Amino acid sequence: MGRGPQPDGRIAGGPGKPVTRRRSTWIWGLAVLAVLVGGALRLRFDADVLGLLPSDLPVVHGLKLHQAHFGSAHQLIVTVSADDADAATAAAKAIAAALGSEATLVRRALWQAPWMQDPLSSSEFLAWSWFQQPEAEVRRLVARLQPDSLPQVLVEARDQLAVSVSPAELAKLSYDPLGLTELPGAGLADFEQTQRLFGSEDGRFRIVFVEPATGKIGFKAEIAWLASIQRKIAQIQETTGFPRDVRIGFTGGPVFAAEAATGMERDMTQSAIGTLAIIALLFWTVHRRWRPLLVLVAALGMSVLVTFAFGALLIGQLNIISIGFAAILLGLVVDYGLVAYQEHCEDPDESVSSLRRRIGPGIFWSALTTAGAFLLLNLGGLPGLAQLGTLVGIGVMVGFAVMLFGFLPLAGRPTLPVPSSRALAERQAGPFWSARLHGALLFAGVVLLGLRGLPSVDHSQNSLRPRGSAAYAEMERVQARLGQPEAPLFLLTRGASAQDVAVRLGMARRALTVGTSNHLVSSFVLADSWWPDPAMQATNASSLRGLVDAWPRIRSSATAAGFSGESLALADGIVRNWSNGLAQARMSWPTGAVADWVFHQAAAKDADGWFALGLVRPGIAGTNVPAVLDMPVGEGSILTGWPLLGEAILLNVEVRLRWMVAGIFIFLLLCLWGAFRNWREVALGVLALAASFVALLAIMRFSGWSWNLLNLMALPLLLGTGVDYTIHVQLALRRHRGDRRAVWRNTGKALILCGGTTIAGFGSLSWSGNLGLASLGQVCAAGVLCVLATSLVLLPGWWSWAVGSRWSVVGKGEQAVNSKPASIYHARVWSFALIAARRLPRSVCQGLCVAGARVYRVLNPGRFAVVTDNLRPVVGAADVDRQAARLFTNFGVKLCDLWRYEAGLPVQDQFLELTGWENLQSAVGAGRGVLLITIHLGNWEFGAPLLAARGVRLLVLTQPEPGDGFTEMRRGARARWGIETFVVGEDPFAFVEIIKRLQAGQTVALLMDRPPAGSGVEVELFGLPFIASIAAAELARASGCSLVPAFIPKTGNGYAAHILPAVAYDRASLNSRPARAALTGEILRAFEPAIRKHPDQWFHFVPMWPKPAASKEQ
Amino acid sequence: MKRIVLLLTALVVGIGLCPPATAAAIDTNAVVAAWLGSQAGIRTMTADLVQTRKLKALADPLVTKGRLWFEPPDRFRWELGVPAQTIVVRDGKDLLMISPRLKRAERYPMDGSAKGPWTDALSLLESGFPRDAASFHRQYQVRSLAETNGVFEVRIQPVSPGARRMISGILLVVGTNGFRLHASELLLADGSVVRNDFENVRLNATLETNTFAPALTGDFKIVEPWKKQP
Repeated sequence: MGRGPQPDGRIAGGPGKPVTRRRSTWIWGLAVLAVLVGGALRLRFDADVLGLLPSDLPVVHGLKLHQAHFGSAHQLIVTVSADDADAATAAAKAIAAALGSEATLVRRALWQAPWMQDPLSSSEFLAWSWFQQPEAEVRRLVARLQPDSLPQVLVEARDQLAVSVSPAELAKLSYDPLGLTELPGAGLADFEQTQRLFGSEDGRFRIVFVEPATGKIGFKAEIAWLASIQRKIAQIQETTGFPRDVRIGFTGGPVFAAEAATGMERDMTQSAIGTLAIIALLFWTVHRRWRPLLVLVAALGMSVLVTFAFGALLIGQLNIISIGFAAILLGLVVDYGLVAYQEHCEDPDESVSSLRRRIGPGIFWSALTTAGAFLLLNLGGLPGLAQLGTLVGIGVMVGFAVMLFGFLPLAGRPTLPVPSSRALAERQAGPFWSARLHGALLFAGVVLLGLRGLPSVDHSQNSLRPRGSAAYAEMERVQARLGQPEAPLFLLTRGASAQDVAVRLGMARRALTVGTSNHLVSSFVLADSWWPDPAMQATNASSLRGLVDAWPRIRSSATAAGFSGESLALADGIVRNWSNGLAQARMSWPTGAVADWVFHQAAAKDADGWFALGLVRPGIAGTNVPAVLDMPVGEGSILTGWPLLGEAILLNVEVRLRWMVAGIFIFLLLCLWGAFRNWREVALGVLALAASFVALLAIMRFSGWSWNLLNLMALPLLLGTGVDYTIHVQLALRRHRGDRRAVWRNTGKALILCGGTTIAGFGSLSWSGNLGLASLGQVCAAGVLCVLATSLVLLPGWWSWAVGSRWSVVGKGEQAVNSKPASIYHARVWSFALIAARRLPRSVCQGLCVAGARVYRVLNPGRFAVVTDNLRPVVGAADVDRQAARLFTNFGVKLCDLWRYEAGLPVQDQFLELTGWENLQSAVGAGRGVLLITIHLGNWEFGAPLLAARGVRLLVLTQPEPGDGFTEMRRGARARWGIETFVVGEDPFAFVEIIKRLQAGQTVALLMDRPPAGSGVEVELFGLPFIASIAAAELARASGCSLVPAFIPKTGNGYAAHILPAVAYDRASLNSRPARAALTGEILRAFEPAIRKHPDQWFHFVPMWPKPAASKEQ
Repeated sequence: MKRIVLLLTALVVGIGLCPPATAAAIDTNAVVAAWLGSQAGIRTMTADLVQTRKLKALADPLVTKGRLWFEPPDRFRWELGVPAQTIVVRDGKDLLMISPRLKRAERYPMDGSAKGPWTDALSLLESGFPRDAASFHRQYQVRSLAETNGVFEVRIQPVSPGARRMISGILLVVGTNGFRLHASELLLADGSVVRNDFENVRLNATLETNTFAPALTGDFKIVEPWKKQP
């Protein structure tokens, strides 16, 4: 993938392994196809909102268990409302009857509690429940029905029937005068309470619970099932002729799943298509060319498809959050294509492979940092967002490859668009007219935050809900109409066997009783009143057998007391079921309609054991969700519920978020430091991000947005993506020496285009069907906008004020940061390096030096930019990055050899070639003194030992080294080889001494391509103005010495020394400065062939050209 | 609770038909109009009653004596049993259901803030003494009117479907001479019948000040089932 097409139509493969383009294309095509097919085969969609959440949280785990095992999670709730209670009842009854007859679709459809249809059907369940009661309760019942107490029980029942004004009590006493339905903690067996689940108390709102005929099915089957049910109900509506005011609604598990699934499809298509359209529009606005536009769209589509397939292979299934990756990805990936195409527009003649080599590394690192920021979402504790981060992370790298190796070659040779008059006017104006406005807006934002406070944090689980959900609205309506404003909490008790669950239910009851006394719980209902407990069954068997035996007596007494057979029918049924149960060796679970319904709601079994479901309502202190979450509920039990979900996840996310933000902030500081190596610019980058964050907070406050579970993750994303803008702008300001208009013309507009697409990508998620994803998209889009605006409008002004004076146009006497030597050029570092070089083998030392140089290059993009600026006039734009990279590598080798030399190790064996020795001999023979002139090419210091070995004593002219002792250290190193060092410094009489030496016939060495301040003169090198030292010409005029150019480049495993013929001059004509400048130019141009041959050894790490790269950029 | 209120309301409405009047018409509208016209003069009312419950669960009817106090528009006290086994008191804002035997009282707010099953019944209670035909017909439908043995048997039905689910019909037995109420009969949804026969009706007598504000001693447990938890 890292090989580009070559002019001969071949691809440069690995060394010695050329692969034809055709073959390579086929290989890559097949690989992509394989990924796509593999991904398509493995791809699944998960419409379950719980799939977004961390399973290791007990609340989430509990809800997943509830969803997986209990019928209530999967039943459809059909609501029927009407102005008239009779109409609502009739409609609900008709719907339940019709759906109940559809056995292939519906397991059960209930419009009222099962026992309401046939009260006697509850006798089986009541009889079963008595077997599971505590022994004391059963004994109390037996005692109540003894011959001496029974008459009083019957009298009291009659008396109460006579005076009670409670219809519920009247009904109960009428059909249960003996109190056999008085089961403590009856739970779902509390028949009166349970009936309230089926409708409002005014009767005008009724509910039909519809259980699917099959268990949990895939979301597509669920959608089809729901559609069938809705069609069926529509038919009933037509045939039965419901009154006009009867309104039917749908909610419950199948409707939520169907809504989420359709929302996923919509999010995937609409947001991605919307983003793509905006991108296309922006591209057309800027470039107005069809071919690259179409190729760009195709490349973006390919990026998304391949990412989709990779994601499917890696993750397996996409959820309702991660499905939004496409829009984000499009907005990010297109930047790489835009940057590449923009660069291509700047130099249409540059080959694609050359362009890719030049800009590829920069884009790669940008893509890598963006991918890293998104991959960090994996640490956020939300699997849904983690998937999103993984997909975008993968997609960014895929997009990088597709854009550079797919889009760029196929986009065609660009032509520069003709700027319109309006564009020209904009070039003149720039964005800086708006700095005050932007500043004022920022100030207004701060005032707004001061007055109204920060945006709130939404502790609920609302961000997980679908937007405009009819199902949720209907569910809220159900809760309101049933007088249950808050959903209950679930207590899930799990055990390996039913016996285990029974024991654990006892523990849960004790724990919840404590919770009740602490006001954390107001009430709770557990399944322990009917959960099978063999121990209790055995204990109660004898007591209940006694009642079965005594039943003729008891019944006779009741009849004698005036109770009709109708009032004793339920008791007859209970006793009959007791009798049947006692006849069994081991009691089996009841199977009647009531028992089946109750068990389906509150009991479940899987391969690992049994589950029981209880309901808990929080008490006064229950508003303190963390306290509820921490409340002990007994071993094997989990307290869970939708009301707890938001807070529980937020607590989890907040902790992780702090670490994430702290980690990414440190990472950003390192990035900023690596980019600038200047604390002021680092601080400005942080300040710009902070100001953007304040602006974002103000926008959120003004718009009424709040932080929630999902959009909190925008913080690390914005830090990761936003920092790029601050770096780009400040580096551009450096390149353009603080020329803000130039920055706006070049970098500014490119950033606006890239930022615009990123905002479009995030912004299109605002229409997502999921509220959390939409809020994440909104906050990210607003955040990117804030960072972009701050970076482009405010940051340049801050930069000019804080660091601008340190950067300037060369020639005006101001130094740029990168015009200084690197900070590692220091006596201590040098001293340490000499020790290391002396002790390490050359190969090891050289390897370390090369690695260090490469790391330095990566960590110092500013320094790399300086080198490319220096080399561009020599090698051209096409090859400059490669040559600059090689320069750093060669410098590592040179440093190693230099340190070994200064450490006193022999270097003679490294001289492989010497040419032009006769030129030096001739000059020395002339007796006028020799000025040996060289440049920073190869290893120039090696000239001294070479000459010393051949009997030529050399005086080396140098500038003072930075820091204390460094100059002396290097002077000593040279002296070891018998070489004298003369530090020129700022002493105005220093040159007098040199002239004397020359006049005495000595050989003096001088570097002339990096003059100290004030000693340079403008000459022409490679056809461009260049500042060179005029010292050689001055010394020639003063002493009449011979001027001999020399250089020592590295060739192969050693060095070659080349001594050029002396430069002839007329000493008398050097009286004028222009003549001396001309001679300087002539001397320097003598090195042009050498520089051109060894550009990667022309070691300059500070700007060399008065108008460097800017000329090329423009 | 809704059923309780409906039951009480129906009784109170029935009582409202008892004031003496001189009209003697068999036309439904005329009878109702005449009755409504006689309401204005009532300031208080007391009566003894005999309640007969014919329940499906019992082979024989249950007969209980009791007493009623009423002060329009919305204060009443209802006692069943001698001594009282059940006392229901409404003093405008609250309704208390007292069980002296169990030393227990339940308080229900009747200020209209609460909603639910008793909303319809509340509106009936507030218009226990309908002052005009319009308000009466908003709450009741007159199903039939018959004259027999010197009384009118007026069958009415709650307009509210919710109320009708509890009490399918009300029979008022009113004397043809002066519209004096002899009895009211509630037909419950399960077919049971609760009949009240009134005796010793006294109008506009001065009532004791604590009639509608019974003093509950400290050993009474008072609960408020409708009170929302904070």
